[in-house]
Amino acid sequence: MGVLGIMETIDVPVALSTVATESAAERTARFERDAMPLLDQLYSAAMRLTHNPQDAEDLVQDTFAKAYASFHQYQDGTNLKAWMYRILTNTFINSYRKKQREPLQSDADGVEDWQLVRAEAHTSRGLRSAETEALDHLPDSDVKKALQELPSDFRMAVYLADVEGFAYKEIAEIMDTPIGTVMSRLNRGRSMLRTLLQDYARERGLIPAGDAS
Amino acid sequence: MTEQVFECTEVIARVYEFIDGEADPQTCAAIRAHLELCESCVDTIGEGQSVKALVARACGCESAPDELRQRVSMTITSVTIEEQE
Repeated sequence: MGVLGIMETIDVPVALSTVATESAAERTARFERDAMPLLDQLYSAAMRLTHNPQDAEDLVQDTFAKAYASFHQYQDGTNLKAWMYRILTNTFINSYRKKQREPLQSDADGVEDWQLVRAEAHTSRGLRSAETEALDHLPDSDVKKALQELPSDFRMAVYLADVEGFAYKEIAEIMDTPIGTVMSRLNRGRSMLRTLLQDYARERGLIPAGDAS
Repeated sequence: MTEQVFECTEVIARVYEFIDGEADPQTCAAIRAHLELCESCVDTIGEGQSVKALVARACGCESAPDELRQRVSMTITSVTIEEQE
């Protein structure tokens, strides 16, 4: 999408009031001051979402262009980071996910969340502590790879909660979904993540394979 | 009034609310009371906290390339100039 395509505002949440009296130069200065410092954070999220640097750059570029075009609608003093993340998420869903042809993952496919949380709750205590400790020794690349394996809705929810520390309510607004869905995505995403990380730790010999339960 | 103490299943169902700081004070108290008695649930909570900390450590620290920073700045500047013309 080119620079002029920003008139397409479908991805941009509408704020309650507008800063009507601001000149273009003032708005630009405000954007540079408040929004530009979020570039690294949004690029990190875009990398996790798209899997590759070129798509991540394009996604961030589109996000900032749309945000700037709608910045007059952004209400000063409200949560700019959440507002930017919402644009990023919507842009990803509308443009990039289609391209990546990811299979859609159902939020409700039969297994209760609590069953996923602790399927092996009866593993012996010493073993579980050792497994948890082993995960700390995994390289960052393994953790990124595991996160990448999750369906993008789950991945985004986990990312927003764990990396950005957003509250469930904020994640619900960013992802435009009920809080119950956010909680379900977090439960499922983290269960999958834990299983993957334990697999990687076993492959690296951090957890003795014979102890796998 | 006696303090509520959860069963294991009630704690397990709320692990993530607890570690994400989303559980209300009564729920937190009931979970903590259970953790005094149950080492298995202490491990479950610990494991959840570890995975959360691991994601926080490993997944959020990319730097945007300079070229992208320049592209974004140019976009903003060019839109501003168009508006002023």
